[in-house]
Amino acid sequence: MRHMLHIVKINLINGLRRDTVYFAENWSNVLSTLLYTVMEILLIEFLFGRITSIAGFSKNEVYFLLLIGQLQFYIIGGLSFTPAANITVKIGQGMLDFALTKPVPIRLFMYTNEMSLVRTVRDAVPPLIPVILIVNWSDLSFTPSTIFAGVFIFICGLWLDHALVFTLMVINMWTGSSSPFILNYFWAEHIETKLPFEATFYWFRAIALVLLPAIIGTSLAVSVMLGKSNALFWGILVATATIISVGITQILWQRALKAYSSASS
Amino acid sequence: MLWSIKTLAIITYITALRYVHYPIELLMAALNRFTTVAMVTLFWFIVARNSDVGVEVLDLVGYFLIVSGLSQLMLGGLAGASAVHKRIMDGSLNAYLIRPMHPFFYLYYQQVGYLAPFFFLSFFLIFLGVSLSANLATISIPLIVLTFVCAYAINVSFNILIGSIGFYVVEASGIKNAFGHIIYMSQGFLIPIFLTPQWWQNYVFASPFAASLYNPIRAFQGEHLETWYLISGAVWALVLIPVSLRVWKRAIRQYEGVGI
Repeated sequence: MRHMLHIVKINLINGLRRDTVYFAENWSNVLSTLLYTVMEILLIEFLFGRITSIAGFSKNEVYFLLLIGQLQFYIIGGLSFTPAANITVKIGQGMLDFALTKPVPIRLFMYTNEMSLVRTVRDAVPPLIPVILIVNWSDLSFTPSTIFAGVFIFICGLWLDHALVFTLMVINMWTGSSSPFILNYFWAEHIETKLPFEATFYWFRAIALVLLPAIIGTSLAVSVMLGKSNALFWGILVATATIISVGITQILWQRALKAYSSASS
Repeated sequence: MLWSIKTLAIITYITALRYVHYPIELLMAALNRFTTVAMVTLFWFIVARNSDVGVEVLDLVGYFLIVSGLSQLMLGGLAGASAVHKRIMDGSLNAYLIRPMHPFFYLYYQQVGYLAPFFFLSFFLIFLGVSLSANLATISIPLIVLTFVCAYAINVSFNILIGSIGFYVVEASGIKNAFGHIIYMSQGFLIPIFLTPQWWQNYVFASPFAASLYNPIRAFQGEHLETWYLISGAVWALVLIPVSLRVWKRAIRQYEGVGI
């Protein structure tokens, strides 16, 4: 355990140095994420200028959904999408060989090595602040139990989303390149986090829970937090899916390593 | 004039041929676009069905199908600007500067070539959107042509102007994305302009944004467009093209690169 923590620490420090070398040059990303949020706020304002609710969601609840969706997007973007996209390129270039020679847990090493915590925090915090301030917290119908269940589903949703991205990444070991698969999912995720869970069709929920799991950490988690969905039912279902996905990703990784071939080091 | 339509067509064709060697990439990129369109359409279907927005579901779905098709046809995602930024950053713009062509248009039509296979999807989406939502009796072909030409010219100008920023800033992708968000919102990509308040409509119709996407969409749907919307669009197209080329000419003086 100490060994693993040491690897994480070293990689995070390296990532910190990497992110801060051209710090000033990368501030334009903050402008981009901030403007994205401003435009989303405008969209909600314009929409609710003409309507009173969407599938039982008030404007305030839609803002809360936007907040959780954005939070999930930045966490998964920084900790899963970015590393997966970078690792995909490295596998394609045969650079996994070098990592395989190290006496370390390869998955942990590669992911923590590619994470950009500073960039994630820098891009995420400024746009989240206005949304946090806009939400009228006293108007949301939370209870301690629904918050606990919602947070639990949010965390499981993050894992399930990561598990899918990881699965798309390891396809690389067989095909040589899986970046189109990852990018495809990345763009779909932009939209699905905006959908109120109650508004979607049953068939869409069934498909989304498997193929677009970002909806679990956003729409479903928000629905449970606001007491609109059955916390116990969804909590058990999502927990079961999470346990199964841990096993699947482990098996996939073992098989993918056996399938990996390269002529460089 | 050292470049011609024939040369640009050849560049587009040659670039599009790359997909012959990368069929999986083509398939996944097509799936990517299809998923994005499906999710956007689903979102607005849900809005129209589950709220009192006062717009027919098919009108709204048709609108967003046409949006997705048209935006891709006109490189509304600023792919031309991205290509310029990339070449400036890695210094490979040199290879384009030595050719007897305007470097921007060479790069731009390369991007058109990359996207060419997806134009079939664009045409299909526009056809589907028109079939679902348009009042066929009121569709005017000259109006569609006029609004489309203006929109195309304005989108090319956006690509040139935002591409030129790359000559002044080392990492310009964030700035490009920031402009992209403003453009998407203002041109009716994220929300139909007829659903927005009057003050916003005044702003977008006086700016080049509405003419860059919204006007041709409404023309395709057979909707009436105010005369001043059309005049505003035509004026912006006529002004922006020479202005953007002038900005490019000034900006390119900042460029330094080693090698070819």
